[in-house]
Amino acid sequence: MKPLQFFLAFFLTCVAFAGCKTEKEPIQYGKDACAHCKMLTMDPRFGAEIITEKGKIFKFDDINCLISFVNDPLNKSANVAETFVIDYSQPQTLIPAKDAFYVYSDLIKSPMASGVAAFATTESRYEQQQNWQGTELTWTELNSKFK
Amino acid sequence: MRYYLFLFLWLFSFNSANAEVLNVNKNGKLNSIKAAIAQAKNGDTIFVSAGIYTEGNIIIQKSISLIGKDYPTLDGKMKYELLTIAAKHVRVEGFRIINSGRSSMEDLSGINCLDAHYVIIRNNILENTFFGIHLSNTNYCLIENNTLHAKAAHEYELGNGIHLWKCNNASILKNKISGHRDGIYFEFVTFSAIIGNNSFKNMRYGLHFMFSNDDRYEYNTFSNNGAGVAVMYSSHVRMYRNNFSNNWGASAYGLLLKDIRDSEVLRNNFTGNTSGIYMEGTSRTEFENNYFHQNGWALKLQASCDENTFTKNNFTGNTFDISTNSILVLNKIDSNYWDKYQGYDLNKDGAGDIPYYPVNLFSMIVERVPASMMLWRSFLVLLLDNAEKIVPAITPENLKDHQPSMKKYDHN
Repeated sequence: MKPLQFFLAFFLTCVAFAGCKTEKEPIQYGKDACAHCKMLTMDPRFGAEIITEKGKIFKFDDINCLISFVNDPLNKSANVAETFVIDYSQPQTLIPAKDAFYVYSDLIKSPMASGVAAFATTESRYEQQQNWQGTELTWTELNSKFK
Repeated sequence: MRYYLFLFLWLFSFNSANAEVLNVNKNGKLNSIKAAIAQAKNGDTIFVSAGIYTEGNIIIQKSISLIGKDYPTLDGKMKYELLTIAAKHVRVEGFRIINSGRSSMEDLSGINCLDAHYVIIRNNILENTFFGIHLSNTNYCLIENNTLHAKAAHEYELGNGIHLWKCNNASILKNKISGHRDGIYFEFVTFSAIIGNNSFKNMRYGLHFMFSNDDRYEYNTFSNNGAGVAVMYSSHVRMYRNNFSNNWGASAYGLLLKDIRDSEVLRNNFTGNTSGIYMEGTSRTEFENNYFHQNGWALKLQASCDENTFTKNNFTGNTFDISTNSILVLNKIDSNYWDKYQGYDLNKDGAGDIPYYPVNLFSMIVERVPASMMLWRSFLVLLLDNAEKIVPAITPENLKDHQPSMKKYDHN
């Protein structure tokens, strides 16, 4: 009986620790505040989130807030493990930042005036580009733009 | 020369005499506002009698006055933007504007001004609109005495009450705004004044400033808003005699200052807020004669603030007077009144003889570990606080008021 109990305990501990890997968390618009500019998130077409290596989650209302936050020497200790952005065409949906397609245009009125919208697919980006005629960017280009 | 002047005056008077008055009446010959606008010429006045007008989006591209008698109602049926103004010198007065459409792509509004200039919007009632009064690229406008109220099931279905984008020399006077996302929103707005407004129960901020320099706001009341008032990324903003009250919540502030330079915060009243003022990246700003009463934190001063001065403010009944996240002190805090000051004044000059330390140990701990708040007012915390007062270890030793006032300032 004893070894069984031991294994059970071992198994449960494993399960408990496996649960420790932090998953992305939806941004609660109207409740969560941006970690960088402190503004309350309101516009579900814009937003971003990072998960640090330690599993801490930071939420942002606009992509330029995320980039300024990550590049701020005060936040050096926060090693970013994963980065997500909100898909403009699917409000409130977080998608991996590296795989997203971006547009910069003066016509995009984002909460912190970055003028950037993110999309999961090139098709959905193309659809919006009809009105904006903005510059198309990749994640790396975007990072150097707001650094 | 004189002849020309006379001719000019004569032409001018002829012109104004020529301005017509059109009457729109539900039961009359002219029963549509759109038809009246189509007939009107620059300088004409259209009077609209009471009744419900559902004409969809009414576009004004002429310099006319549109005046409602006994509050005629413009109903957008949750589909349309109501009034779109794209001309100079337009006046809209005395309307009840209700049920604008909602859209995530466009900022549908009750009254929308695009490149309009010199517009007067006065004495209107706006109910259940997405954006209330929306101005872009519109200079020298006057928005006075309007009442705006919105309601929606979700926060993101709400737009801002009075929204200005890329405007200058605007006057926003005596409006009442409630239930919107931000009561008054300024983005890239300069040389403007916000006076005597009442902005309450809005979902996010009562007033929100972004990238707007050289503006002034006075005698406004901002109460019970989701997150208080935010003034961000601006310089030369003057904030006088405003009332910031009852803004409660984890990320709510009476006044949130972020990246502000060369501004003035004078004679304001901060009562019953989670944090009276939260400031980050604020420089060269004066805080004088303000009254901080019954706030959780009167002042949250982040490390990135420098060269600010705090003088002659009253601090009474706050749980914590000041909290900070650094030992370094780059701000001047002098001659304030603190109700927690326990010193004495032997030379009777009105200023305490020993300095007052407004940052207490526990507020520093709460700053780092918010959950420790539940130990507040326990015996242990009291002991720690007193020990810290005698031998400062964590609290910034230099953050002190050298001449705390013995008497409360009378700011009236």
